[in-house]
Amino acid sequence: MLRFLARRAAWFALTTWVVITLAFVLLRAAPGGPFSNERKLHPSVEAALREQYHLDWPLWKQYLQTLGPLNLDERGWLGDGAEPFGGLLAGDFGPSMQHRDVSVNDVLASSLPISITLGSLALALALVLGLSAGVASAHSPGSKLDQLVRALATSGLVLPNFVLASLLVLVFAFWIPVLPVAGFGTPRHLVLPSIALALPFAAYIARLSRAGLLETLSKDYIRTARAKGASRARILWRHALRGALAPVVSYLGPAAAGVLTGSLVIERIFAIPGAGTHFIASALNRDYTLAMGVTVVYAVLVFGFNTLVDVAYTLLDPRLDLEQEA
Amino acid sequence: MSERAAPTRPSWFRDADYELAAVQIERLRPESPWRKARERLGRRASVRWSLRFLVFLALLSFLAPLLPLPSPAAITVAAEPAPPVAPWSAFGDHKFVAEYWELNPLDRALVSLRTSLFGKWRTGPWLGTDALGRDVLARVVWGSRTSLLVALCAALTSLVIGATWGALAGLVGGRLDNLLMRIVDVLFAVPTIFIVIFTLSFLDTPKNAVGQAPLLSREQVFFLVVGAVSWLSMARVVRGQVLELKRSAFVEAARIAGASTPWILRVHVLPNVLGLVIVNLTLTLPSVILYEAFLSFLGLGVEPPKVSWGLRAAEGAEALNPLESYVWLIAAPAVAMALTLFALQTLGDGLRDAFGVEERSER
Amino acid sequence: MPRPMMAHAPAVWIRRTLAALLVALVVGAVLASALGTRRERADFVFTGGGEVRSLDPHAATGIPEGRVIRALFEGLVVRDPQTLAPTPGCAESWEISPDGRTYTFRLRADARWSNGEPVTAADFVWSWTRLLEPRTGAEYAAQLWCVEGAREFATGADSARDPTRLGLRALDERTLEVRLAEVQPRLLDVLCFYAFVPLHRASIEALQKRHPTRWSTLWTRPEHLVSNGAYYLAERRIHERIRLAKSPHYWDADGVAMRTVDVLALESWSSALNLYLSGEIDWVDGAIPANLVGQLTQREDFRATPYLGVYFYRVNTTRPPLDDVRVRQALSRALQRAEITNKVLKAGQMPSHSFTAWSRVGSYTAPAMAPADAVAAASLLAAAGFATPASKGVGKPFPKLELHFNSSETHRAIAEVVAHQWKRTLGLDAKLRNQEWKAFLSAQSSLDYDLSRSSWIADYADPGNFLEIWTSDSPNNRTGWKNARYDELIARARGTLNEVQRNALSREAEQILLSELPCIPIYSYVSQNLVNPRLGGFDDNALNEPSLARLYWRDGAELEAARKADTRGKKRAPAPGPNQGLRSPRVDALLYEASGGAQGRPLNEDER
Repeated sequence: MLRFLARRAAWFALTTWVVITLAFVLLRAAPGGPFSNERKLHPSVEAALREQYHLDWPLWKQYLQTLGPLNLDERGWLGDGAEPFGGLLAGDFGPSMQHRDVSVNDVLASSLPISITLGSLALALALVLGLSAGVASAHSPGSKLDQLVRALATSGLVLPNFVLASLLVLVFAFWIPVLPVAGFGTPRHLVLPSIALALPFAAYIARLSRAGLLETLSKDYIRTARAKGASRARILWRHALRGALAPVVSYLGPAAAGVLTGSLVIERIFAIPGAGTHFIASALNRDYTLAMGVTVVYAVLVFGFNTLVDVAYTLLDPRLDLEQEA
Repeated sequence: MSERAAPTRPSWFRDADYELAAVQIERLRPESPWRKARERLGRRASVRWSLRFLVFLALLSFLAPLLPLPSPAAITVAAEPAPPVAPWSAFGDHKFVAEYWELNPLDRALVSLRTSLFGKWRTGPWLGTDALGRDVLARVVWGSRTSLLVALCAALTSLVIGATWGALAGLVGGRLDNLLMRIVDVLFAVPTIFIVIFTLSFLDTPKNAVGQAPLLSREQVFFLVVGAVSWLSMARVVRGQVLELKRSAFVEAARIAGASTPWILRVHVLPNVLGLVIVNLTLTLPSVILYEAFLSFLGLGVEPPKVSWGLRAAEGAEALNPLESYVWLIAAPAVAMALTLFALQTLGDGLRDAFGVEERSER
Repeated sequence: MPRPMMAHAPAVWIRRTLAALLVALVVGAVLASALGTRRERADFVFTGGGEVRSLDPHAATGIPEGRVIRALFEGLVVRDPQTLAPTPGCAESWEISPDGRTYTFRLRADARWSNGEPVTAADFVWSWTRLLEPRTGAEYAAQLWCVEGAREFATGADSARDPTRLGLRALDERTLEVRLAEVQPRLLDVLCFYAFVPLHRASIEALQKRHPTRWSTLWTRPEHLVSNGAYYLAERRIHERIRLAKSPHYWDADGVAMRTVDVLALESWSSALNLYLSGEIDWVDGAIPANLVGQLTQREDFRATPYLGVYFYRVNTTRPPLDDVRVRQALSRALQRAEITNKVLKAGQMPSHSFTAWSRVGSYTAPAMAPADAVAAASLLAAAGFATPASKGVGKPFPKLELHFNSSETHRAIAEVVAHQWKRTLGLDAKLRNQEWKAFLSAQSSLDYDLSRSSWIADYADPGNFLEIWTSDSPNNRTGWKNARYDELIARARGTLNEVQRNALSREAEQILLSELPCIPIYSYVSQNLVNPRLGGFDDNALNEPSLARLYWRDGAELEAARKADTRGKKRAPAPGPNQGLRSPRVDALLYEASGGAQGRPLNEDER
């Protein structure tokens, strides 16, 4: 296990570095910059601003400065006095080019916990809904219940999420005014956004768990248990659930990273100050520093969850060998 | 010709279990998966109906210029969106105006055929009109063309890139496999919006004169953009299947029996992979359509006056508010999208069962 | 071989872990959300169409930022919310020399920072020096280049940068002298702008010493920010809300009624509307989607006021056939602008026949361009050698035009109608091309467009604000149009003190602009506000800048009286809020005197 984790850590470092480089190249290659505006700045002002944020340096130098850990700026970072270290490797994401008086660390520190809160709730909800739906329909495959549950589960996947969110707001905040319209602060504010966020995932989990359950149910050892006289329900809960979980877990890995970093649509409609907005907005506004920060966070989450999933997979299926898997 | 041996059926097996057992047995004999697949596909009513609906939809959108609908681009600058009027109250009128965006020759021929068939008659506002006076039904039907075309092309792009990538990785194995899959991992970790913006700007070539046609139309750019972000999961899935097939029992058996590699590829590997690929294609289409809706919500989608379901849904989403809901503006594209995606999912499930492919996610 | 025995143990383990994980997730999420601190609703909550990106007056460029900065800080002069004229703010009086080149401002004795220290003239000198520093990258620094030595300071070499050579002098603690190198007749209007507020030098320099590299992201935090306005910064949550609290040290604290103000950052107009309709927001400002305008204009709480902004299409005059002035004239005259404003926008926008918004800015009346006339437009196009529906095949076909705009519902609708109108009257085809914002700006700057949508909003009510952007060297021109006579006229107008002469020069310049048409004006903006009817002191003006310090809550009686006096005949809207009103002590005292003691109350000892 330790060797596996060590090897994983090495790969993680390498792939994160490649992700950072790729994101850097993609962003700089897109036209427009962070300071372009309808009201164009005077050329000397724009030149001064660009110099401030090192946008006048050659690209390779900007890249090294972004990466760190050495601070290549003799003047120090937006102030007087130089600090020897900076950049991503030193944990310093720099000032946000869009919010000129706030640092990227501050932006992420204030928005990520909110997204993670909402995302965790949505994931939990999705798991509960999805697994119960999957179990219910695998309990009696082909029956009316199965078909109904499958239809419901699919319906979570057929509407764009902004339509779903708007519908939820209309129904539960205006027609039946039980929940707040938008905002963030109390547990009641979390209900509608987490439902909107959870539904597509719940639908997919329902399908996956149903298929996994059916697959497991046809295995030999289930038949043995059956032959020994165990009831169908007992078989489902005790033995087959493990089989159901395998595809769910491997799906959840990458999906969890996406859920936890938030969704722009949900955050915009429900006015939640999460990180999902920053993912899209930083790219659309060419806020290079914030975009790099967001990329790093996302890459860390994706790789972290992938590793978790691999570890969980081996716990679920002892036949798999982690060494071989890596 | 091998006959399918009918297994004896224990009393407590239900129909679906029996089906599943049969599927398991079938997998040991992959000689003619196509025939089996077709048989199994036709077995469930929901799958049959989905297929029929999709065929109907495809025909409808292909023949859209021929139908006696109002023009989807003709603007009458009305003040308010008008609600739907039932067909029996306003079946049609004679105010058709042939105003469209640039059409290809086939569509132009269809339009001229339509005018000669129906003259100036057009259907009434059965689904209402939007704020610029355009008929919602016409826009939904014409929008289906764009949505389906985008979905298909994007899915095919993802297929071409993704399946090749994954098959190569799975077949060759070793270092190349590792490298290719690491590249996929890396691309998975980059936020897709960066790729979208970059590809959009990269493909949006500047013009130098008025009237100069760009190299790629915006729609074509869109196909490539969406395809560029969707091929990753296809690659993983194909690789996984190829790997499993490489290790599977019947390939081993064939190898022991002395079969050559090309023969194994053709008879054992290819049909199974193709099955998986078709299934995945059917299941990628919904996510592509939804992603197109998301990009339209952000304003990066298809350009007007062309219309797609995503664009209509995004425009209509503003209509859902407590003051005055212009429900029909959002209901029509939402229902159309929901039905189509539903049919696609059901068909995909049916295909999956038919080909005996496991429900597998991207690992 | 699968081992049933093995299948047993992990199953229980897995189930228990899963259940525990789920419970932990849910509980954690609920707890964490409770940490989002439920606080009391502020006295006044509003949203201004987007996030407040920066509280640094020198770095901020947008309208939402302007509102908050104007509440936090106070400059020498502030705009009267009703007339938009400069009125005493931090400065209680000023003298202007006869040649217009020296301004002497006398600061109030009781002007205080939020930490109690007095505001001094040296604070202003230091702040404006920082503004002019090129390293600050302030967009509005160019407005102060009329000051002696400022242009060299801002654009010269690093070594030559000497702040003592600037024409800014603190004659004593409370007297500020500003000497101009170039005559600027509207300097007081310029100084109303939020970039020219003072900053507290001592606290910023102390922070710079403590954190030499990070101070720029720390000084606007609530615990560090020292401001001199009616409010101080109580809380700032990025991308969510900014909470302002009434400053007890403000010289006019008696006149401020709202004790706390919340500024929300809402990106989606429908969420803003939803929150307003459920009573959580008291004022929404923003571009309303065209679908809803019809509904909202009938309500009493909808206020549409003429706004000093104009929407127009830039024409790329370097691309044939758009380089032919007859073609541009034809395109402009073929448009039915009233159709756009009445059928698409519907909020009372005015079709534009000149570039200066509303054709009247202050005392200036703009000339009108050639009126809309489809026949004349077609004949102009034919004269330029192109085929029109009327020309019956004579002339070459007009190439396909591209209407370039950034992604937005309104721009799309307007572009579609414009294309439709051109098709109808001139028979020409136009395609639409939308891009995301930054790519759009980049394409516009590099002249990669045929016609590109733009808007221009003035800083103060002066025609020069509008006309200046069309000079050859203006970075906001972006059309490739150059006219030497135009440049000359604008330069002369800028330096003329006499208003009548200035207006005449501007008029002549605009005449040239409207006959050359490097831009096609479409309509003049209206500001669209949804304001709680119970809110008092909300003044509509042409720059949509009500004064936050003057807002108060009307009590039931006053609301009824206001509704009776409203003769527009609009639908009643819900007016949630404190029924007994919330007034400032000064208003209370006035009411006390006026009602002979029946209402309000006299000023307390400490408020006198």
